[in-house]
Amino acid sequence: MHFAPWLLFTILALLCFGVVGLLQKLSTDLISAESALVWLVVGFLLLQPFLYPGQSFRIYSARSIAFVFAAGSLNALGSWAILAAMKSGGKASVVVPFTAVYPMVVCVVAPLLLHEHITMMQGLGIACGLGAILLLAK
Amino acid sequence: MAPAPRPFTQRWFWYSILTIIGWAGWAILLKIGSVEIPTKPSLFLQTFGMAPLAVVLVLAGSTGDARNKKGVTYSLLNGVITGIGILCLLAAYRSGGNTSVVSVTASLYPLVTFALAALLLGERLSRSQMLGLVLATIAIVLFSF
Repeated sequence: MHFAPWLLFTILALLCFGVVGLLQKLSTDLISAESALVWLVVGFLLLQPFLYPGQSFRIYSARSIAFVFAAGSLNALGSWAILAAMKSGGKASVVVPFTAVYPMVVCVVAPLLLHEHITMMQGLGIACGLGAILLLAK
Repeated sequence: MAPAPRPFTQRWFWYSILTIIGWAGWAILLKIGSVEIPTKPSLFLQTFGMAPLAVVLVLAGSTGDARNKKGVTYSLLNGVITGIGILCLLAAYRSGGNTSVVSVTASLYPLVTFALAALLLGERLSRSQMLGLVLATIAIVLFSF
């Protein structure tokens, strides 16, 4: 079995997001979804000094910058909404796996929009992964 | 005994739908943007994209209860760890990961949440969730070939 770099990075992301699922519930037990979102953004800002590229962003196209900026806005919207879902009575054990089905939308849109091809093994893996997400959301 | 309310009549359900829409858009736009912009500058820029909503919430005065130190600490940690997770996700996209495959694999994170909830909060997994765990493991093994 060979773990490609992209898979190792993805598993690391999975571990981080798994911890986050618990922190979301713990924080909204104590403060509002709005406050939790604001402090979440402050948490992101704490990473900025380590991320600053030290060069102008003019080397990148306005299109790419706009996409990444818009991605951030949608991430904030999604993050606020999941915190609000937990604050308004949603159980973490239901809301976390339920919202994890968002790749079903990605799997439909990405091949159409990005013209990416999926191998048979990856297709089987996606089917198992989506099945797993649906079972976890039960 | 009163019947349980239907999910789609509950506010949390619609907030969850909004999360799915937001995060699906986020994953796709991030992939498109990360083709040209490297991992670190990409997260640097993305954070500025997150800030406007936070500013609006502060200006709207809906953050008045943020004095609970524990709640604030959990939220801060939430931000830092999410940021690190997104860095890993961007690195996966830039090292040749297919958008659909990476998104599905990373979204198996409820496994970790359940494991932590079982360990720290004493919660138990149902039979279907156990089956989901097995399927998720198979998915990751299939992606490794």
